Amino acid sequence: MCPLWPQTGLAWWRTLNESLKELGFEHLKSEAGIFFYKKKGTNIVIGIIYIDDALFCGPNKAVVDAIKVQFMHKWECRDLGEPNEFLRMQITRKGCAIHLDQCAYLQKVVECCGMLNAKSASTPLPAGYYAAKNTEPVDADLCSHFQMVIGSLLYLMLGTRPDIAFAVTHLLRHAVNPSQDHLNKVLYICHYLIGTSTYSLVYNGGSSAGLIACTDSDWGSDPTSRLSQTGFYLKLADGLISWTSHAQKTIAYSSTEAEYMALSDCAHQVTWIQSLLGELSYKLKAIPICGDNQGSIFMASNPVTEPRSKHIDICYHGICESVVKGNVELFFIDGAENPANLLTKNLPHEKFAKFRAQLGLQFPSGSI
Amino acid sequence: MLALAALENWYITGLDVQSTYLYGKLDKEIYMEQPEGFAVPGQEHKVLHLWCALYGLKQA
Repeated sequence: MCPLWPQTGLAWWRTLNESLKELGFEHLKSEAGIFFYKKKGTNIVIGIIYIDDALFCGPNKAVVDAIKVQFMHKWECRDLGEPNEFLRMQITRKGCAIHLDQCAYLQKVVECCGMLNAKSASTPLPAGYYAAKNTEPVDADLCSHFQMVIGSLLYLMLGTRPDIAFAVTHLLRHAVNPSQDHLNKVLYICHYLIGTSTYSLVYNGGSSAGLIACTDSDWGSDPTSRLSQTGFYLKLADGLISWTSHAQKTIAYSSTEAEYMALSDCAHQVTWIQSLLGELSYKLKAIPICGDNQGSIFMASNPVTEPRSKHIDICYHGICESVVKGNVELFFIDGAENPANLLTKNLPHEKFAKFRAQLGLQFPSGSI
Repeated sequence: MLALAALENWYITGLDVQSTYLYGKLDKEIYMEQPEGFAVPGQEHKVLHLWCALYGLKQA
């Protein structure tokens, strides 16, 4: 949610921060775009502001509305009431659930690609597909077409579609010099989206699952660079709140090491969410992180140096500290049951659909 | 945050702040040529000194 504030953005944030301070808000240290209003004897209000898009929420409608009116005295605003949109994502409340979707945007992307009546595909990319580097010189037209489509897909992926995270980041690497095959595969993702265009990310207010993280990595899957792929997500209220799929920065000497690095990346994100929720006065127990590799869990839980792990860079050992401090708790789950799998490889449809069902993505009818 | 709002059953309300970038004060001096059709007659060679941020600036 935190943008990289450019100069005028930062200038605006400073001005905004001052004015919110006068209303009694403090910005969170872990996230400059979230403002917290907490006074004795009254209910809390949380302000979420991204440049010019603002949401205020809290348990008491009267208190939230009163704050909003004060804010509107300071700034010229359009009152959106109970919003149905934030950052061009649709928000729908259904009972105790909140649905988040970008269906309208997706429709536009499909239209722009001239694929309105195209067939649908059952997975974002063919199972086992690997995008090889293009050795031909850059084709400017193809390149700009590729970049336009993948840029739109990236926005969808970051907003509400974790299911295409691996496919998009996998092809994104070739944005500088894409081949015809890469362009075809980006359109393949569009074919997949056509078949799943009504999906929304659902946060179920009745959930009692708490915050949970899942991590996975493959090992040296990139035949050229031999880098491994990290994938992890955080889930709250039965829906994903944070997800990542990226190539690791250094080469892992074993699958254990690759999983250890993924675990460590995931722990960073968990720590951030923990401090964010902590600032909002939530006291959290150790956050469970699930992984499917016994070796990496053992290494993270028992900080002993072995010959085989000596070379692992110090920045990855933060996970040990998080475990000792009790911030996180590591659990082993079977690889065949680890939904984070779909963030690290192109799976066949059956597996993909099984894991996708656990991300909180739903059809409008309520079931997948 | 929306997940939290769902769990806590919070009331949510939204606002759209108008022309936000215009509120930011610049920390560098920036000059621009007079826009076409808005130049002061007889002083077309003069440039404008910006006081506030504008949409379309490199800094935006």
